Amino acid sequence: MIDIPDWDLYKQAIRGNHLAWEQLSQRHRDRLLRMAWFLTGSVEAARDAVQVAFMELAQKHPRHHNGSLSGYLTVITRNAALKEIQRKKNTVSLDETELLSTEDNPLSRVVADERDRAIVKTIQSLDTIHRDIMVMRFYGDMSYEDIAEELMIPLGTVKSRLFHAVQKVRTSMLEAGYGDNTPE
Amino acid sequence: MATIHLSDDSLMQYALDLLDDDDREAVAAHLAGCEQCRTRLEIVRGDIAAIEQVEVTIPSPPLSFPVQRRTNAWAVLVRAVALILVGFVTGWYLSSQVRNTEVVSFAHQPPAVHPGKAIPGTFHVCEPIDLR
Repeated sequence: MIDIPDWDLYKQAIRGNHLAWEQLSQRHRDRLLRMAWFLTGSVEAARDAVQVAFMELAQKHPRHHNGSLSGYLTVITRNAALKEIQRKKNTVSLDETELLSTEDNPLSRVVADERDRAIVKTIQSLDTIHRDIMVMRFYGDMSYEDIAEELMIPLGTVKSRLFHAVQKVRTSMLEAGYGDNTPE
Repeated sequence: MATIHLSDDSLMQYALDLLDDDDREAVAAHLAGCEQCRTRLEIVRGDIAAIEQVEVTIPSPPLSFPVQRRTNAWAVLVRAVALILVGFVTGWYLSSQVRNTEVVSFAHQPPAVHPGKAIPGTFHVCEPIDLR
């Protein structure tokens, strides 16, 4: 099966090809949901953020410059997720830690594997600046350069923050006995 | 002479592609000749992959394509044409009604005043005039 590039699928979709839209959304939906969930800690908020991002994609007709559609979707999903966090903070008055451990979405329902749950808990315990970069890089599929541009910080800062974030999560994995994940 | 191995930090920075060109080349040169560090690098890469590949299951309904702008633009155009037509027909009907109606003028008729007593801008009762 030919792997049609994202922008070509998008052009077909906005001309009314619903199959192209379906293929495009399926290609990115799960990744974006995971990223939005890491940022918000809420299944509902993640769904809303992804819905908003795809709505924006359909209605704003972004132009194809040099950027990837994947990167564009990542950025607008992240912005929508941050708005969801802000909305929750304004309405429920929770701090960030509480936001990331909402009782209505138990972790075990979303993450089946025990080791993955340990990793998720450590990621969620990171401070915002480290978690944000790790999520953008690992789950948003963004390059270091794109992250630096989006957050308006130097490239060196992006790399340094990512290093410390991964170091902390890996140390936590090793302490919990989940180290040595040597590839087969 | 004891071999100096790469630190865990260097291996992780190498695996994450965080090093600048010079440092990356130095690490690559060491790895080429050190099996022990290559094995440690594979472990680090495995741990990073484990973090990257966390399985998260979030069921979500299909993301259907919202109503297109083109459709909205057509709807607006049709409404605009309909409004123009309604305005035209209404105007035509009203103008035909006016043509069929007798025009009655109620031009202002100033009250009669006695020629000798008139004061500009005021009215007053005329004195009776004996017509006999």
